[in-house]
Amino acid sequence: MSSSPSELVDCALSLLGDARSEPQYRTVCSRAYYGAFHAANLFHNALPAPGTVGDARGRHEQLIAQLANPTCSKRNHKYFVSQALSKVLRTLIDARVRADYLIDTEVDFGMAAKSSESARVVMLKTSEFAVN
Amino acid sequence: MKAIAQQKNGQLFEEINALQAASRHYLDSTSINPLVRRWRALRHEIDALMKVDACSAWELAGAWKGLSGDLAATEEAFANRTKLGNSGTNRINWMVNRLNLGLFSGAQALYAEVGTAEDGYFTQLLEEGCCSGAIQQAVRFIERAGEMHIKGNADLTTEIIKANAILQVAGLSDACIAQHLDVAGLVLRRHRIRPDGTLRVTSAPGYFNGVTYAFKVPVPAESAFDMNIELAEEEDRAGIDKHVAFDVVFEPLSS
Repeated sequence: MSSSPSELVDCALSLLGDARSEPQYRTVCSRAYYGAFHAANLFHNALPAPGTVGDARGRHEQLIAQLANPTCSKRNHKYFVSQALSKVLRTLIDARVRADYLIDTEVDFGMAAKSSESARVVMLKTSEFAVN
Repeated sequence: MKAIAQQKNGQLFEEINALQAASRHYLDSTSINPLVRRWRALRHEIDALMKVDACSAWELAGAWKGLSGDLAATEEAFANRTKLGNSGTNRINWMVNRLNLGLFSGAQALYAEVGTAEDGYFTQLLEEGCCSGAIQQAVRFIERAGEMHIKGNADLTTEIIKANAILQVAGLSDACIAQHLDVAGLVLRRHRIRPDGTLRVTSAPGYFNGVTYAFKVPVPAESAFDMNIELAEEEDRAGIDKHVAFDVVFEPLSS
């Protein structure tokens, strides 16, 4: 058995539809981030060359750094798509950290909805640019 | 961000603030709708005031022109106001209008002058200073305010201090942040969207440490993503070095 990034994002969207409590909103943020993370990771792995890690530590921070600093040609439109993905992942990982680590801070429906929607767009764009 | 009202001109400032609150976009002065009609009517009241109180009138004129996103005219009006001396609020309103126009470097320069604990606006302007990207400057003001036993917003103060710690390690100055934010301001002006930014400090050592300025944009999520591509292209043109410790992002207002 295995799961795909799109299944994780679909799971987040499905959970959102039934979410009525803060622990459920937190779960949505978490699934949404991981779906987007894996989709962005596949996008990055398909680039002609990996992006620059710089000072980043840990696989998650490193992926955000690599997406922000691609080494493919700037004439390749994926260069700037990669940077846009890095930007969106920052907002998703921030929500995920709040959701899973900072349980004394509020996570509401709006944050869960925003996370799942952002993850859906990450899926959409990584799929779109994977074939172009 | 709201302009600060002053005495009898407060009503005009309140009307300007109300017009601003009515839309996340700059007013299109060529269109015909109730908001623009009201905006045009205010011009006559400001012109009339110019004959009796030029100081207030120039300040109002700057805020009024800012509503339409007219960068040059707003700057000119506030510069004219400043030539007549400082009232206490004119530089604050200039800073607020620079933030509303996406001129973050310029807003930082004014914040350095007006955000001090000694001048009495420290608590009120800490958020604006933060919005301008003046994190190091804000920390200096926070430290000085602490010595003077002045307390600001505790949550905001904590976020600013956390952001400063991350940015210091990365070697990113206020000027670097302002340059980056100015590029976002350029893109927002192109879309005629007034900046509405939030500081996000993500501190999870070993997982992700970073400071992010997220600007809400009143567009669908797909369009917000396209705006992030546009922002990345502009950042490249501006020669901005990307460091994982800091970035700017557009995010949809709501899903």
